[in-house]
Amino acid sequence: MTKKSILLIEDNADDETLTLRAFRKCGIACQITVARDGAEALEFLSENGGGHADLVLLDLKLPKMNGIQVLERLRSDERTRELPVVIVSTSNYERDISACLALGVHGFLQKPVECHELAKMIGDSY
Amino acid sequence: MGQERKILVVDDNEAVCALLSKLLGDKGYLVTTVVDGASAFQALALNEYQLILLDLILPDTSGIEILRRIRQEERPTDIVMMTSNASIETALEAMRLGAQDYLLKPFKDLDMVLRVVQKTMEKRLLIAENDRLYSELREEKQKLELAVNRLALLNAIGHALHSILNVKDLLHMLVKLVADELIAQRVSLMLIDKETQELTIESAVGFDKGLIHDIRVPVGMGVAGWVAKEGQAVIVEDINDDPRFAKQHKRPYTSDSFICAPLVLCVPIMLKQEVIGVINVNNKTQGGVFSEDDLQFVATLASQASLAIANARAFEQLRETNQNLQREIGEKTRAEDKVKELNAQLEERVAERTAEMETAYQELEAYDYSLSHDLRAPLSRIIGFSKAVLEDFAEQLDPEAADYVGRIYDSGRQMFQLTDAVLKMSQLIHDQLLRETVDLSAMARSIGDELVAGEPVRQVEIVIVPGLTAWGDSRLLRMVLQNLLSNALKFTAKKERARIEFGARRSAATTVYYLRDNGAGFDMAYADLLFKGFERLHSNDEFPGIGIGLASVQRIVKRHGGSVWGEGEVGLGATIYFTLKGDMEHDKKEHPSH
Repeated sequence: MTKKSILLIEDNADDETLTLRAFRKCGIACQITVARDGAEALEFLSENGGGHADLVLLDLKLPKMNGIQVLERLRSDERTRELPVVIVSTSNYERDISACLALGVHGFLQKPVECHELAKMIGDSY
Repeated sequence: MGQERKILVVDDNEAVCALLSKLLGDKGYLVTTVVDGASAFQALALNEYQLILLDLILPDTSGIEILRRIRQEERPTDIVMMTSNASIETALEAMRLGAQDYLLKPFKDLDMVLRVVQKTMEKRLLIAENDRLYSELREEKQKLELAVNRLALLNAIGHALHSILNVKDLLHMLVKLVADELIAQRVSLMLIDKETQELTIESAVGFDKGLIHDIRVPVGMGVAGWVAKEGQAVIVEDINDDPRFAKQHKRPYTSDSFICAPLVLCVPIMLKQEVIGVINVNNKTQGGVFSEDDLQFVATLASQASLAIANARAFEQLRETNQNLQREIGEKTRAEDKVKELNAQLEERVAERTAEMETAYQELEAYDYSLSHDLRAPLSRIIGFSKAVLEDFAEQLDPEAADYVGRIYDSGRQMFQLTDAVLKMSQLIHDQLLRETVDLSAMARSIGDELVAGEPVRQVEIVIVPGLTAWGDSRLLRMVLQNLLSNALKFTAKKERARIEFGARRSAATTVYYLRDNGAGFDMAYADLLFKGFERLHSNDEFPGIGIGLASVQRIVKRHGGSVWGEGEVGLGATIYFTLKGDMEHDKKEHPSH
């Protein structure tokens, strides 16, 4: 089983710790890259960035460019159009959910990220 | 009479002359005798004779010749020829030439002579009489024609005057008529200025333009003033001769003066026994004097004019009133427009307010949203980390420490749920109210059944008044009933038989819904704390749960335009009352009998 490459776009250190712990607990074999904001993430995924991701975990509340805007950018670039994106957020707000659904997401995970839910989500993406 | 009985006898026989003279003289005729033609013409030159007895044969000429000449000269005289038997043909010829008759000489029958003379004279008299009658008749006819014409004219004028409603035009037409009909040099119509008691010229013909405006005649002065004062019409042939005016009038007659000639006709214009003016007529351009007919004509016109003036004044009055009315209507319309404008402004302000409110709502909703989110982020970490400690360090943890961490986790979860509720509620509240007829009874029944099913051990009686409807947002009203019923159920937990009632009290103005329970109740002293979210009237140990329910209920009810309040008695129970606006209007539509 090849290691999956996961891109986690998260700006908060505590949330990052909890999410990475969830990955450890699940025992999911993957390589995780963390980007602190939208720009970093897009840079990573671009031609020159040399980065590759099989799955993106996207926080909605980000500095400068918010999660929805990042998603829009991903979907407008043909290289990242089909890239599976899972929204990780504290929000269960209808408006945010429908906006994401419109752009096309793989799923939602509510913080704090539960191990089994994470495993299910990652497992599903294969 | 004497003039009509002159006879001229032309005969060279003096005896005949004498005979005829005696014969006819006795009968009262005036007889003149001559013996030849020349004398005859001499006599004719001096006098007019009604009858000439003419001998056919005369020394200087023939009777025929004389006859011819007389007839040529067209003298109005009858001629009787005197002839003897021998010249009867001549006599007949004479008759053809114009002689009336002939007498045969010698006169055998004097009576016959007389008869002929008398007959001829009578005929003449009759003819003269005829002529006289005829010319009299013609005179009368002319007078009549004039009168008829004037009458017709007056009639037409009358009609015209009554249809001309502009007083100025009316008076102008009038003076022109008088001037034309009477062939007068000057005509002026004057009206009395009530304040100054002076006559001023309203309209005139035959004056120099500038003169008209300056003339002011005090009532009582001059002909016009006299007529205005006395109210009587006059014809004055010479002002200087008339004792009524002579003293006053010393000026010479010029075109500059008001009266330009001694001949004046003046007539008062009366309105309801009061003199309102006069019509002056000065001088006849073709000479002559004003007749009684003229006076009558002008007087008739004056009375026509006064009626028409009164008419026209009345009309002016009416028009003024109409204008006033129009102005009032105009003002009223302007006032109405003003009201409309204010109304529009008001509506505009209402719209503005509504928009402001919407904005405020949105801001509130955004606030709720960001607040909840801001709370949820750290909360999620509290939950996450406390759980992580419990899971990852379970063996290392002291049981007491594990207990404390567990409590941290519980609190975190509780708060998380709270923010969820706030967020959900905020969303629902913000969305536009979708009003429809909601069957509250059915809704309460289904919620109640669900809640009771979740507590199978307890004895719960839920009494719901059937047929309760409301005009409101179904989802939000569901939340209200859910909150109220679950509260009621919660607070009756300690009672053996819980009794929960849901009903409504209808009044003319509004419907008050109530939810009553026989539970723990509350102290009325703390009634205002009921709806302040996050405060609790009972400790968590007594009744666990989130105390946000009533605050949400209040928000929803307020959104509907209603209000909510509560009554309670410690140990006996509590009743929550609420109203929803818009109900009554809707109800009236559904149940008009109410």
